[in-house]
Amino acid sequence: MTGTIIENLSGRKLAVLVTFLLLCQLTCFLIGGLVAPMPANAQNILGTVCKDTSVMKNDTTKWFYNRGKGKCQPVDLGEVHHDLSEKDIVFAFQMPIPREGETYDYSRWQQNLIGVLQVDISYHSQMEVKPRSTITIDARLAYRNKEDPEDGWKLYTQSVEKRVLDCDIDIKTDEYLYNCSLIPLFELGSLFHDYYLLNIRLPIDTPDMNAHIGHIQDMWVTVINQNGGFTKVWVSLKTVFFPCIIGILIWFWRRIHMLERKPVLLEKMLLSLGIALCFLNAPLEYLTLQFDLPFMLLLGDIRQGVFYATLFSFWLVFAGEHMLIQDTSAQSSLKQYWRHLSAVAIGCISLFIFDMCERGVQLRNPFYSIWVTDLGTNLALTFIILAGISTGVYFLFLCYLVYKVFINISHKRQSLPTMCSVRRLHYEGIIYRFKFLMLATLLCAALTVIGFILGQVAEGQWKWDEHIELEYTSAFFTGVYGMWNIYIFSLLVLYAPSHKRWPVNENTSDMQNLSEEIEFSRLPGERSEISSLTSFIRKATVD
Amino acid sequence: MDDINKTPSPYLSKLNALPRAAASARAVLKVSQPFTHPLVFAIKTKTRAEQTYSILAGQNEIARLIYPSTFYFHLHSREVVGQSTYCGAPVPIGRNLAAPIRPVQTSNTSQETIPILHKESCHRLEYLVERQKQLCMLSDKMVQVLQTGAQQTIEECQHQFRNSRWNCSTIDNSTDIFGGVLKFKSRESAFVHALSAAALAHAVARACSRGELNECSCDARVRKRTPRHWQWGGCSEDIRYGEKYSRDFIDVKEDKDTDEGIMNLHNNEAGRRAVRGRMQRVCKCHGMSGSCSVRVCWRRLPQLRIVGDALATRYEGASHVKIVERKRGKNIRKLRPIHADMKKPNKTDLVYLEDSPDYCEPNDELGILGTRGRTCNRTSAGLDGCRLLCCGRGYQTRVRDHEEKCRCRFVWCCRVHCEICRSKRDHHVCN
Repeated sequence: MTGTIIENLSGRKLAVLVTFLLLCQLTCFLIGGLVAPMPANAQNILGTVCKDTSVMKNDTTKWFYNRGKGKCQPVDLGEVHHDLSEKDIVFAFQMPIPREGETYDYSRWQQNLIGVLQVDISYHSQMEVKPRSTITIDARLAYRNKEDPEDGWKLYTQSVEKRVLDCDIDIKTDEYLYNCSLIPLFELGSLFHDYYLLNIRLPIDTPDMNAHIGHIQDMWVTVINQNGGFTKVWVSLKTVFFPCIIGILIWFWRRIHMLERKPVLLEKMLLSLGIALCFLNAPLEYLTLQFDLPFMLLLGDIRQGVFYATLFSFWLVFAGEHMLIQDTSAQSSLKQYWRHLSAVAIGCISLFIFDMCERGVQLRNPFYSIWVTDLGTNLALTFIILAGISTGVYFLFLCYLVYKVFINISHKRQSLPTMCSVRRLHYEGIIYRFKFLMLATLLCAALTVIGFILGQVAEGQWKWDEHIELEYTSAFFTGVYGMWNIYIFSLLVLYAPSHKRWPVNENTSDMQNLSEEIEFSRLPGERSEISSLTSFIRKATVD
Repeated sequence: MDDINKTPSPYLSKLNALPRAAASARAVLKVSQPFTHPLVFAIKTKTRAEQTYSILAGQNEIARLIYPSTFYFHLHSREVVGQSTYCGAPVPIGRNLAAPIRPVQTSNTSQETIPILHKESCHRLEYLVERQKQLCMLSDKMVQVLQTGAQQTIEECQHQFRNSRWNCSTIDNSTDIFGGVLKFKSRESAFVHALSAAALAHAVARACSRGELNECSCDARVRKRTPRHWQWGGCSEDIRYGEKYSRDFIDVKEDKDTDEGIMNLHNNEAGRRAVRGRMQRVCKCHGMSGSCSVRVCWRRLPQLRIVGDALATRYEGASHVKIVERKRGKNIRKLRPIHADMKKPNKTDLVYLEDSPDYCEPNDELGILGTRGRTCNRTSAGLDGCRLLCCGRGYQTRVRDHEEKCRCRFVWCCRVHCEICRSKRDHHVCN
């Protein structure tokens, strides 16, 4: 008679294992906190206003920039220019900005580039900016590599976009600036080239276009990229976790195959959870160092989505499989859980559709945003609300199931004193360890939530003393990432079938054990190698 | 050089931004001109030949449009031979220092020839000490950034003090740009020092953001252990370099052993902190599906006007202090409130050592213009009210034709369609 490892593991071994895993967890946290820099870096770029003297305005080979050979002629917008029209004004943003006398370039380790626009509009009593007015932007993005000449900019993408300008002002006095909200401008899933250049024009093709945007003084573009150091630490973690999980998965599956019975649902779920984690862990980022893969942002979302979906489904099945009232004759399958799982499915699918509408379309046009049009906003909100509702429903289901499991266990517990001592000790141990794992799950979830909230409340670094400063955000990410890896690793280890025999040779309880085994083996349906907790439960229901 | 040490003044007293400033000083003197301040839209100035309209124009704007080649450095009289030759009319630096006057290189269409100062001119700015020259030489555009800082200081000072008895008037043919006003260790001096340090930090930070200065530092905010490469951990905010530069450039002139030195250093720092303290935090979420699981935050540079407002508030509540010497151990000189029961000034407060001079009456020696001829507000009980501004000398009321632009419609980028509204208004002018 074999059970799972957790049931047969002695308390001391369990303690050693748990300590080891906790140490791994702490290592992950500290690697993020002490080695890695902040996850992302933002650079504020103040636009240089350039004068476009060319006749052909739609010429996408003509680029404007403020550094290097062929730089543009700057214009001061504070002055009145009678010789200029709106078509002659170009806001140029050359990125990255030089520092310490060096011309920096983007490294492929920096992964992605997100651009946010902020407009400084000065107040004029005669020309108030109406709330939620629309700004039309003709944005062109160019790239250049190190080996190219300084004026060798090539078109990356071009688009005319509408954005909502949400401005308000506290002090309604002239020359004060409006508080304008951020305008998301573009998202590049891959940072393949060395230099980028953004040219922004504000066209007036119709009389109403860009008519109510007030007097623009400055334009700022904040470019956000992942930090190279963070990517390196992150990918290193993945490189370590990936083979570990693969290895433990192979070990787990071999153990199951060594049994005579077919794998049960819980074991299948564990396997798929492991595979989903492998999919998440696969260090595909190495490919971006060589190839231009703009879909990495989307793929990252999908990988995380698949993992969360499997994890959520696993929890449901885990709770459901330990439900004490069960039809013992049939082997449980996923079909029994379709009602519960549909909540997960609906949530994931709606988030996936939303993501495809946003980041999927951005593969074609990095300037695209679903939030600009009313229809798009409604659509996006629909999907997000749908996902939110299904998450809520899911958690209600889960709480209900767990509640039922605990009720049933406490019921069965009442019958424990009537059992013989060895059997009672054994079952108490099982219940204790089941609760222990439930507790671990709750602890992981709670730690994630608490860590997240702490990160939102206290921004940035935490100081322990003069010399040790902790980069909290990175520590949170690596810590949580490591935690779920370790969690699933330990699930795979502890829920793998054990090869250990029952201690049959113990002299006093020999007969009782034997009789128990007979009792177990008399159970209809499944063979003897199901988890003994389940068998205990099933037996109880038969009783 | 010793002269500089004797008359402590912020760097801008030498790095002058005339004639914008000079024009407004003149505007104060010539009461016959229909200058009310601050003008939102340009007023048709009848005494001037040019009828300039400007969307943003206050008086300074007009001044700038009338004098295209505005920006020059005001020089110390002793250091320039033939100083009297440029009395009154602003002369570009090139003419005094034999620097090449270059037209803007690509502007063939523009008739203006604004002298663009280059790195080489740093050496010719003799009022700079050696360290300042080095700092000025750092980058090609640095001189222009220094100019911008100086101009903005004067503009902002004149805006903040538009209602006060001393309205930050500048004098163009004096040894000091603010006259002798800053020789007093007064509140006004404290404000001007703080503002100039703030404006320089602000200007440098902006230039960094524009990518004009190559030298902007990239110290990763923490983490000295990890490679100091921006690809590893990104760069610090531009304002940090701005502050550092401002500290280097402005504070180098102050002597820590003198009373003024201690006061000015304190006020300079307060000015820089006013910039940092007014920065606005902005965040962007870019996690899974754009959720806030990953968020990046940064801080925006405040508008200089906001900094000026903050410093003006500090000016109102500036602490009157004295220098206390501690003989025990090292000779440490510290600022303490003049009365023991007053609050100890913290790092963001402005401090002053002496009471302000009398700004009511003209004083040629100090370069104080007096309040005669200033326009006052009859109904106001504040500083700009006629009672206070005219120092009890009374005022005259004149009725003026007032023309201003109204019902403007702005067409991006460069045109404004306005109507001209005429009205008769009472002007109250101090005796």
